[in-house]
Amino acid sequence: MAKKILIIEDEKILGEMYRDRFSQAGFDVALAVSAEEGMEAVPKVKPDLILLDILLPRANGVGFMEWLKKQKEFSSILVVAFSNYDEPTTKKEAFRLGVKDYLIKTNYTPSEIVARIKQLLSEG
Amino acid sequence: MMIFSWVLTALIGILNLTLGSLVLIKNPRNKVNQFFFGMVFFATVWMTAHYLSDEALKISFRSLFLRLDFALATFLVFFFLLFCVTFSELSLKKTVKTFLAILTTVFAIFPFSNYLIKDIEIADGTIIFKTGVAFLPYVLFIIGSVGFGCRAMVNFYRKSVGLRKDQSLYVLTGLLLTASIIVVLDLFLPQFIFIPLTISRIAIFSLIFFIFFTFYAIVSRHLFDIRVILTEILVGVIALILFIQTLVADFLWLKILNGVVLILFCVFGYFLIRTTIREIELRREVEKLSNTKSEFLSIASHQLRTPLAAIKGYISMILEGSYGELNEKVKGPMESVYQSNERLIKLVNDLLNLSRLDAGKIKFEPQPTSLEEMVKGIIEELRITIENKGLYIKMKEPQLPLPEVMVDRDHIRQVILNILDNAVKYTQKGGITVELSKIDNTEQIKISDTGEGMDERELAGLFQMFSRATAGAQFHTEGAGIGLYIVRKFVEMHKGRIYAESKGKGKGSTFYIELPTK
Repeated sequence: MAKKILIIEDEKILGEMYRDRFSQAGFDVALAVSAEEGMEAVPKVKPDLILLDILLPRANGVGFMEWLKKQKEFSSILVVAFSNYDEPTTKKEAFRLGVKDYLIKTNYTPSEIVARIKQLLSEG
Repeated sequence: MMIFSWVLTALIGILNLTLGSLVLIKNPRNKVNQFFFGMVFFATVWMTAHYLSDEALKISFRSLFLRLDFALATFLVFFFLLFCVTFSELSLKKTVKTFLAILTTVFAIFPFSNYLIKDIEIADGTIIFKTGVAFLPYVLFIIGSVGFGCRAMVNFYRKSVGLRKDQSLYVLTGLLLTASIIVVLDLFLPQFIFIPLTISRIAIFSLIFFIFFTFYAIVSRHLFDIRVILTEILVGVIALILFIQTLVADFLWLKILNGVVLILFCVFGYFLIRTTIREIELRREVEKLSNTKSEFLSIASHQLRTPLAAIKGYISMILEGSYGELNEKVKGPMESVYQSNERLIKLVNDLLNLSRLDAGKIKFEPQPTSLEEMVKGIIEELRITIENKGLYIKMKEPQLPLPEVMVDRDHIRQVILNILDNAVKYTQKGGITVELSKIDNTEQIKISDTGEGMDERELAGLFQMFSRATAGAQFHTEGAGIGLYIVRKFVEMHKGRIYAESKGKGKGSTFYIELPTK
C-alpha cells in the first residue's frame, strides 16, 4: 500500500513540483498551501509523513508543529521540515518540537528529498 | 596602615556602588543590569562587614560582623550566579531559581548559629574561630555557585564572537581573579594555616580587579553602554576637586592658578564629553547601517532561494527523465543551466553566511567529531563529480586512529567541502590527495592538488574577502571570492588555522586545515 505524504508548501510552483516527484515515486500525495490548511488536512489524510515548509503565511511551520504536538492521535506522525529559511534559532526550535530532519530546499533535488523521506520511513 | 586600609576599603566600596548604580540606572528593566547591581551591592556590604569584623573595637561587634560577613557572602554568590547565567544568555527555570533562593537563605541563617561558626576569639589582632558541622556544606555551596557561574561565562566566551566575546573576556577575567582570591584567602587557607590580618585584607582589596576589568570593558568595549555617564561623572568629580582646591588655596596667586586650571579643565572636559557622545552616536549609526545591510542580505538571500530551488528541482527532474526522455542535443545545455544554477545557490549561501558573520549571528555548537569519518563522507559525496572530470582522489589515512575533536560539524564540513570543491575546480588533470595527521595538540587535514597552483601574490591575499586567484579567473569565473574568507572565519572560530602553499604556477596547491584537539 502506498505511503501517504502531506506536503505543506505555500509556493505553488514548488508544491506542485514536489507533488509530481513524490507521485512518480509511488507516494499518495496531498498538498496544503498553509499551516491552517495543513491542520485541516491531517485528520482527513492521516499521513505517514508530513513535509513541512517553515516560512508560511500566518501560522508558520513552527506554529503547525506546536499544534501537531497537542493532537494526541497525530502527534507521532513523522515530520520533516524543508525550507529556504535556515536561521539557527528557528532550526533549533523545529528540532525541539520534534521534526526528524531540516532540509534546505536549494541543497537537494526533489529526487534526493524523496530518497531521504524513503530512508526515514523505512527507519520508522 | 589602618588609615590606608580604611581609605582603600571606602574607595572600593564607593567605586563598586557607583558602578552598580550607573548600570542599574541605565536600564533598570534589564535582568543583567539588575543582577549586576545586586552582585555589586552585596559585594560592598559583604566587604564592609568583613572589614568591621577585623576592625571593630568590641569583640561582641566583631563577632556579629563576622557572622554577617558569612551571611552576606551567600547573597553575593547568589547574585554572582544569576549575573553570570543571564550575561551568558542562559536562563534558569523558575523552580531552580526558587530552590537556589531558598538554599541561599538557609545558608545565610547558618552563620548566626554554632553550626557554622563557634568559639570566636581574637589572636594577634585577627579574629579566629572554629568551624561547625555546617561549614563543609556552606563551602561547597559557595564554591559550587561560583564554579557554575564561571563555567557559564567560559562557555559563553567560547561561543560568542566580536564585541560580546571581548566583553565576556574582561568581565570573566575580573570575576575569576576576585573570586579565586576571596575563596582561597577567606575560605580555604584559614582552615589550615593562620592568616595575618594584612594578608586576609587582600580578599577585600581583590574587588579592585573586578572593578578595573569591568570598567575597562565599559570604556573600551561598550559594556552596559554607560560610557557617556561615566565620562560625565569623571569630569564632574575632577572639576569639583579643582574647585575646592581653588577655594581653599592659601595664596591669591595659587587661587588664580587653580582657577585657570579649573577653567581649562572645564573646557577640555566639555569637549571630551561632546566627543564621547559623538563617537557613540556614530557607532550606533554604523551598527544600524550594518544591521540593515545584514537584514537585507538575509531576506534577499532567502527570497532568492525559492526560484533557485524551483529551477534546480525542475531541471534535475527533466535531466532524470521525469518528463519523458530527453533529446541528447538538449541535455548538454540543460546541464549547463543546472550548473549555473548551482553556482548561484552557492553564491547565495555564501552571502547568507557573510551577513550572519557580519551580524555576529553565527552559532558555534561544538560536538565530538571524527574528522576522519567526516572527510571520508565528503570524498564519497564528491567522488562521482571528480571521476567524471577524469581526476583521481586519494585519501591517506593516519597510521593510528585520530581522536575525536570538538568542532561545529556544519561549519567544519563546509570548510572541508569548500577546499575540496576548489581543488576539483582548479585542477584540469591529475588529482587530489587528502591526508590526515595529528601534530602535537592539533589535527591537520592536508589537501593537495595537481592543479593550476598560485604565485606568492595570490597566496598572500587568498583568504581575504573578494580575493580570487588568477587561476580562478582563467578557468572559472563564478567565484566572488567570499568562500575562502568565510572558511577562514569558521576555522578561526575553532581557534584553528588555515593556510595554503604552492610552489608556483602549474605546480599545484596544498591547503592545510589545523584544528586544536583540546
